[in-house]
Amino acid sequence: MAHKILLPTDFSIESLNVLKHYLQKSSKEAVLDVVLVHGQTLSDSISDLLFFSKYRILKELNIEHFEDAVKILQNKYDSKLRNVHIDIFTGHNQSAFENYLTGNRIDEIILSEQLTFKPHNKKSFDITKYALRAETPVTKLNCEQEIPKNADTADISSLFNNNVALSR
Amino acid sequence: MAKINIQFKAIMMLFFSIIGLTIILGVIVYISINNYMYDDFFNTLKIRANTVAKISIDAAHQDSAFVSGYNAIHKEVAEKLKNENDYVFQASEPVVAQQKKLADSVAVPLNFFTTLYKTGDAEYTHGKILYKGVLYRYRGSTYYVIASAENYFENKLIKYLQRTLLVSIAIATLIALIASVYVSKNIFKPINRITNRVKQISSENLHLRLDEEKYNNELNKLIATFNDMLNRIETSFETQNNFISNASHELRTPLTGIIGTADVCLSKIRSTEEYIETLSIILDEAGKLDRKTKALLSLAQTGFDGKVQKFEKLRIDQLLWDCIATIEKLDQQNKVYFDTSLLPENSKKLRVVGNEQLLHLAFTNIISNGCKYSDNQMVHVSIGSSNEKVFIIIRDTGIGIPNDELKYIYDPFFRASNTKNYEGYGIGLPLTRNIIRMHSGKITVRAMENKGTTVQIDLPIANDN
Repeated sequence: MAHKILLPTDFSIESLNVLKHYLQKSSKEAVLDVVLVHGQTLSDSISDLLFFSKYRILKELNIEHFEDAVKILQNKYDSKLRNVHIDIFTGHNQSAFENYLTGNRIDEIILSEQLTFKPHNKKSFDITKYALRAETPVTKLNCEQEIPKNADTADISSLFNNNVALSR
Repeated sequence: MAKINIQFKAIMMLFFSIIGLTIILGVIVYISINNYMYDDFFNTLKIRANTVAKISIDAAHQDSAFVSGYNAIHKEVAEKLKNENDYVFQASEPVVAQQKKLADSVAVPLNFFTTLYKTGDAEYTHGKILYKGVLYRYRGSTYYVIASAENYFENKLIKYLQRTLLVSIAIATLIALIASVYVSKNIFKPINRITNRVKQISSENLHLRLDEEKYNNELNKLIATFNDMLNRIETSFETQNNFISNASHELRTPLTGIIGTADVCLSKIRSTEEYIETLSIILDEAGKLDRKTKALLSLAQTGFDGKVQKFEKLRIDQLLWDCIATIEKLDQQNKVYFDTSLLPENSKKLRVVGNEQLLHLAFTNIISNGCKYSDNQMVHVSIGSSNEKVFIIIRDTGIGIPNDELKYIYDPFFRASNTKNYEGYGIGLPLTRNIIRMHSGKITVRAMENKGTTVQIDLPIANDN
């Protein structure tokens, strides 16, 4: 049975370093299912709600760089990662989040100690606060990464060699 | 024929489709109402024939009380038909001969009677007069009963219908003409505006751009495309101008050196040592000139669309190992770290289609630039791949590129303002970009002054087949 983990993300490439770090530390035989979740408030418009589609919302978020970076990780840890799923969470309270965890059968939540949430768009919200109060076990990882200020969130290169300090 | 433009075509198409539809509608209404009228009148005649048969034949057989009542009601209720004629004949042997005689007397064709005899029902139209025949049986004997009358009311109605339809088609024509002219004028007005604006733009005023239209998405796309194209044309114009001045300047510098040295040397008789020194300076300068022309030549060659080069499948990680080996051979001080922490497990994801020499040249260029501009500090080369693309990231901690000069780095002979202390011609990056473009890849340069440069190269993965 695969271990299913949830990671909050703001669709920045840096947020994937948590996953990279976790994958490096995990045992060789581990089989993982990963859900990358972004908090996204839904539109109030009734027609938007009527034609609600997660696929379309994800497509409209323009996260091709993020998806590419996920694919890079997936190709690297091909044997460990059974499935990586990018999802949005649209609830607004703790019980909705608990529901989401139960519904997706999440075994563990992984958080980064360093990473601060940067809203991807106007409707983004941070789900870390729900994650911290959740009944599911939460693991905080120290990724030892420098978060550069004003960095381009679509910069795939930030996924590479962050943990190998550049020698001066 | 030049007069027939799209606007005229659009007007005509709109106009004729509206007119065509109206005419089709009118014709269908006319035909169906006309048919209905005839059917209706024949029905009236049939009722009339039946009544006449009842009155005359039943009366002849002394059912008088019933017939007189029937007659009275008939006279009271039935509407008078114009030119009405009713005939009643008793059928007798021989059938055909009698039918011929009767047909002559009533002035209808013979087959009217034949059909009547066979089916018990027949219709015939002669001019405005309509004939309806019914076969009536009474107490064992058969009668032909025929009622005929002029279709007068109906004719009047049809005339009225014709008039109405013609008038409405005329009105529709007028409206269609006005509407199609108005609509097409409105649609084509912005296009004419764009045409006029584009006509104004020439090589002297390439900075001019088209204004966006209100509420017109398709045209705005066209305008955006035009503006985009103008941007590219303007950039390439500038590049071209810069290139020529830069190239002539770059080629002149060593030439000036050669001419100057030779000139000074020839002014008087010199010693052998001085000649040797002069000649070695000239050789040095000529060598520089040679290298520059070679670099220019290779740049020009890669500018062509890869018709000469041979493309084959190759593994990008092997290529990178080769490049790194070459660079370390070139200068022992160069340090390159090849980061394979994100190397995909499946080696198929590392295969690209390309020309090995060209790609080797491109990567060596970027990596050696990294070494050069960071004073031989460590250069990181990382590799990773998604399902469609291979990403190669080359990162150094060198002098970087000033932010406002980033947009010029692909111009031939351009050298950033902070590269004074480093030797170079400004050919490498444009050459690399041409090579990457030939492989349908993408090159992105991110840099911070005095912090370092990151070059990201995306190359498409080869298809499995």
